[in-house]
Amino acid sequence: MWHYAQDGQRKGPVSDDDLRRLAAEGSLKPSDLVWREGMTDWLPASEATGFQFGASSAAPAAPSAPPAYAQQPPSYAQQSSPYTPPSAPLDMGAPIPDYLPWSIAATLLCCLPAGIAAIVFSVQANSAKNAGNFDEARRKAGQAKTWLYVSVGVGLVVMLLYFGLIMVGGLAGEL
Amino acid sequence: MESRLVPAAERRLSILAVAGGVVAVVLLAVAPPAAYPIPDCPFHAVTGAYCPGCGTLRASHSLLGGHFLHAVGYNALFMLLLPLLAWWGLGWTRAAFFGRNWKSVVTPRFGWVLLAAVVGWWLVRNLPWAPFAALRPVAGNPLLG
Repeated sequence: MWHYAQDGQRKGPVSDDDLRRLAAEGSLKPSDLVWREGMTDWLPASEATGFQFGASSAAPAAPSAPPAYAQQPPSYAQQSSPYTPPSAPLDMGAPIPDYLPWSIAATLLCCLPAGIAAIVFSVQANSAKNAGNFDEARRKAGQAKTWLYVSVGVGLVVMLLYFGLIMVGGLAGEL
Repeated sequence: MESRLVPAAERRLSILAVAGGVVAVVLLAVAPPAAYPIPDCPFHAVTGAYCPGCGTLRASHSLLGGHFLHAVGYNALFMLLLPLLAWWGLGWTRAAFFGRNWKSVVTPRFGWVLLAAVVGWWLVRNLPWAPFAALRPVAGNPLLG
């Protein structure tokens, strides 16, 4: 799923095919910034995709002045670290962690019912992220993390106590 | 990056995870269950109901002993998801060791499917009627016969 930026607005998500079509019909200019998960930063569509770009109805896609891009002070070329979050107005912030694998593993390997809550929140976080709703995704991911830690923490304590009891019981039985 | 450890710590964690995995596999594969009886799941001990994870330890033990059907009998969902869990574990471990980013590559829709599968599995294996006995990790399950 791609997100793209035009006139200072974030748009999308759109599928690979949709973005290709937008490019072909000229709605997406080679200079428009695009991003999808896995990319560390927004890039001009021409660099990120390799799609065929059709002539825009408004203006030919000349490399004169990519407006939305040039107006934003910190262009991606000036960023020092490759992990700098994408810059305004495309405020993605830091990458949103995905706790789903850990939540599933925690639930299957020990820790009900907090593990289920962690699964629910991580699934919601991934859905929100896919819809481009990053604030919501960040909040849900935070809740998933909390529940994951609670489930693993409580699970460990319960396991230790429980195995301790069984061992003590076993020893007592042998005496 | 939020919630991302520094690479050195992640690498240590990945080494620890591999070591822990090897120890667990050796213990489960070598230790005869008679010598180390696998204790009842705490959730089952307290509630009398089976949780989605009940039987995973016995399933792992059976699988390592080459008894695939027994493993399925102890926890079918765990066996179904084992390739995915292994794929996740290997992917994360490799990425953590080499300091790369790792993505679980699960679409949101598939995430919902997984959630439904876990909750559904929890419900279904506790239904008291005959056909569902095959989903419980106890005697009476034909797979464990």
